[in-house]
Amino acid sequence: MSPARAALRKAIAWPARPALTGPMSPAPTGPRFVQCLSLALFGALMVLSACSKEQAPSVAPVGELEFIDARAGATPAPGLSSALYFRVRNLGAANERIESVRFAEAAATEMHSSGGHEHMQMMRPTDAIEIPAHGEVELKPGGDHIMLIDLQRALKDGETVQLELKLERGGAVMIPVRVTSSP
Amino acid sequence: MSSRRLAYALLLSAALGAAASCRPLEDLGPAPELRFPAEMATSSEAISIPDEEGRITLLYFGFTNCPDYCPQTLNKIQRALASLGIRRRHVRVLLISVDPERDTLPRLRVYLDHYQLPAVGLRPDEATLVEATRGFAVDVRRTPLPDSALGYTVDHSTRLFVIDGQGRLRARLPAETRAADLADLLARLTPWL
Repeated sequence: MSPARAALRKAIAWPARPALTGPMSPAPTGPRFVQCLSLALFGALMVLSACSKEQAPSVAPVGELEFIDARAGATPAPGLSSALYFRVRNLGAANERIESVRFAEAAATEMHSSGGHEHMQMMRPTDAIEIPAHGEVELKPGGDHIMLIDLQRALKDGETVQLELKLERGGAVMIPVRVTSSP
Repeated sequence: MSSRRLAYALLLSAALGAAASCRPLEDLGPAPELRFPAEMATSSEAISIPDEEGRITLLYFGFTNCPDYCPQTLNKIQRALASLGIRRRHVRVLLISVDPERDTLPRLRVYLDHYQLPAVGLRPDEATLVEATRGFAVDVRRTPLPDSALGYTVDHSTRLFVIDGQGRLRARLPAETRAADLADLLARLTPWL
C-alpha cells in the first residue's frame, strides 16, 4: 500500500478507532468526532454545490452525429463578428464531413482553422471539417472555430440561435447554439 | 490525525501559501514610452504610456474582427478586475488596434463598451502602430485571405502587457494565463485601497 493510501485509510478509519481501545468503549461522540463529521459534511456540501453549479452541456443529436455544447460569443452591436464552437461526435461507422456552414443573420459564415503560438496567432479559412467514424472533433477557443462575420444584429447572452450545416452524408441540418458572454 | 497535527498542517500550508505569493514580481525594465493624440483614442483624450495618473496599464494588441483571442482576453480582464473590487480603479486597459483600417473609433468604442472595462481603444496611424509594435516587440502581419469574406486578417501576438504605475513592464502574459493569476498579479501591484 502506498504511503498516501495508508494515510488516507488511517484518516477514514479514524472515527472508529476509539472502539479498538476496549470492548466497552462508548460510541464516538466526542468533540473530535463532531469536528470530523462537520468537516466531512462541509466537504460533501462543497462537492454538491460545485456539481449543481456545473451546467450539463447541451447535446444535439443529428443523425449519427452528436453536437455537444454548441455556443457562440455574445456581441454588443450589429456589424461585429463572433466565433462559434462545439464538440461533435460521430457515432456512425462512416466518416462525415461538414461541407459548409450558414448563419442566417451573418453576412458570411466561415470555418476557420486557427493556430500559432503566443508570439503570433493565425487564422485561416478551411474548406471542410472532417469527423472520422467513431471519432470526435472539437472546435474551441484558441483553436478551430466557425466565424460569424458581420452580424446583422447583436447576439444576446442567454438566447439560442440556429446554425445551418451542410453535411456530406447527412445533408442540410440545423443545430441549436447557445449564445454566451464567456464562450 | 491529532488536532495538534492538524494545526501543524494548517500552519505549514499557510506558510507555503505566503511563500508562493511573496515570490518577487518580475521587472522587465522600463516600458516603451508612447503617446497617442486625442484623435486616435476612443476617450477623445490623449493617451500616454506610462499612465500620467500612475495607474497600472493592461495593454493588448488586437482588433474587433478577431473572434477568438481578443474577446477571450477582454473577458479574462473583466473577471480579474471584478475580483479586485474597489482596487480596480488603479487599473486601466488599452487596446491598440492592429487593424486601424476597419477599426474606426466608434466601432472600437462599441466593441469595448460591451465588456464594461475602464478601457480605451486606440486607432493608431501607420507610424504610431509601427512605433508601438516595435517598442513592445509585437509581431503584426496583415495577411490577405482571398477565400474569405474578411478579405484579410491580421496575424498578431496574443500577449497581454502589464505596465505598473511607474512605467515599468512587469509581465508579458501569454493567452493561457488564467483570470485568477492575472487578478493575483494586479492585486500585488495595486495599493491596498
